[in-house]
Amino acid sequence: MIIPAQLRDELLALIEKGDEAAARAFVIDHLKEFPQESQDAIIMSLVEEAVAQKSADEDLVHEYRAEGMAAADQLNKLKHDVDVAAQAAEIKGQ
Amino acid sequence: MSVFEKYVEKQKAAAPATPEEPSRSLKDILADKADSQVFGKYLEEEGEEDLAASLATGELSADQLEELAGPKRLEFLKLMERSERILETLDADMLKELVSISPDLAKIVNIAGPEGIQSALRRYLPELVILYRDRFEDLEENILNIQEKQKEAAESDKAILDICKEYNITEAQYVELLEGKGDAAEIAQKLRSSKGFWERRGLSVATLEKKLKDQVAADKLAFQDLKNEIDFERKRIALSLRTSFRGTDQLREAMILNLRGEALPKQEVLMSFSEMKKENDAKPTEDQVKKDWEKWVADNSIDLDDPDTDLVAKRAEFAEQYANRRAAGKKGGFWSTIFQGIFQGTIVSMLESMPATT
Repeated sequence: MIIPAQLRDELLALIEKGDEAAARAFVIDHLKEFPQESQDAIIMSLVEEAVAQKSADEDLVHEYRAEGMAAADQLNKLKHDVDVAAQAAEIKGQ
Repeated sequence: MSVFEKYVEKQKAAAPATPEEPSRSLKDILADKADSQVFGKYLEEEGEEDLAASLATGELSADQLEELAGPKRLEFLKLMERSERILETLDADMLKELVSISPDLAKIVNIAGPEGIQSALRRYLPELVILYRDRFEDLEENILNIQEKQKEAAESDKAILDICKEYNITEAQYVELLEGKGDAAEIAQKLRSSKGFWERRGLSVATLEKKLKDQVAADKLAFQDLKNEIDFERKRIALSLRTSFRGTDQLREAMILNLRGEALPKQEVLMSFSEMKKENDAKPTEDQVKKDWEKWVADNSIDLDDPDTDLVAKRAEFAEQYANRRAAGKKGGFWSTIFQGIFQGTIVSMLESMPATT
């Protein structure tokens, strides 16, 4: 894909400034001025980015749930141990 | 074989045998202008420049036609099938989910609609699978991971619901617990300031275990207190897990923001802005580009003095190959694409400023 000279110069000026947010906004706001092939490539890259983020998010949710369920199971076992200890204490006290 | 291909093979093995769809013939491919162009790019990538050139001019010999109709066509069609499968997974529902996490995609949907995005993907995915195989395979793996994790989440929903039922947890309770007012970022902030959930888990369980040991000589009431404490912790976990359900969008979003903020660093699989800036700062000099251009012209026996030589097309072709070589092995994503567009355009501009003929 080729970014036409005028758009490229404006975009490069923002990149040189190190202003990521402004450079991103520039591309999105001027997307219709890019050649069709470049528009397609940019949309593809945004989808690629969102899919990578979503995949990482799903990993986080998975880990969060697995750890949470493990903790709940552990506590359930502990509750059982308390019951056993309580019974033992009761027998001992009788 | 990529992870995605292995998955498809596994699915095929598990599914009852169905008759294979007839593959497109060479005639079908050549009759479709877009397919034919992509086939040409595939041949170039495979190092079959002569075949690609003949395909572009439509002057294919009988031998070349035979060669194209064989394994090359089948390999090409396999790649096209992979890109079509990915396109199918990027349906309206998936796009809706992606748009919810990408403000930029949301802006584009507002302008072009979801159909605009799908049309762009339909046109570009065949190019991605042929020219940027690594990026395509990352995309495949990420999509596969999303599908698998969502399937597993649907299965674990039941276990979470069971604990919620045990403690009579209602939707209103967890909304209330998290004070589900304001936007996701605000709720995430509240989650973050509520001491976190799982970093305290180990400590709370260990503390409770210790208390149990200390209760050997305790009275009945102390045991009941301990059980209540355990129940409180379990209920808190169940409430927290309930936020990860689909359909509780704002809470789920808040929970993800919270996890992103505290638990794990964001996976840097895509080219960052600063990496792109560094790449751009290291672009070749005009002298280097001139030398490489002259070598390319000589290697491809291009006569720049011939009036029939399409100089604009040749410059674009050289710049594309130059940019693709530079992109090889690099990370993908938005900034990678932008860098490529800038780089390719810069190379063309440099060539335009040089004398046109030898």
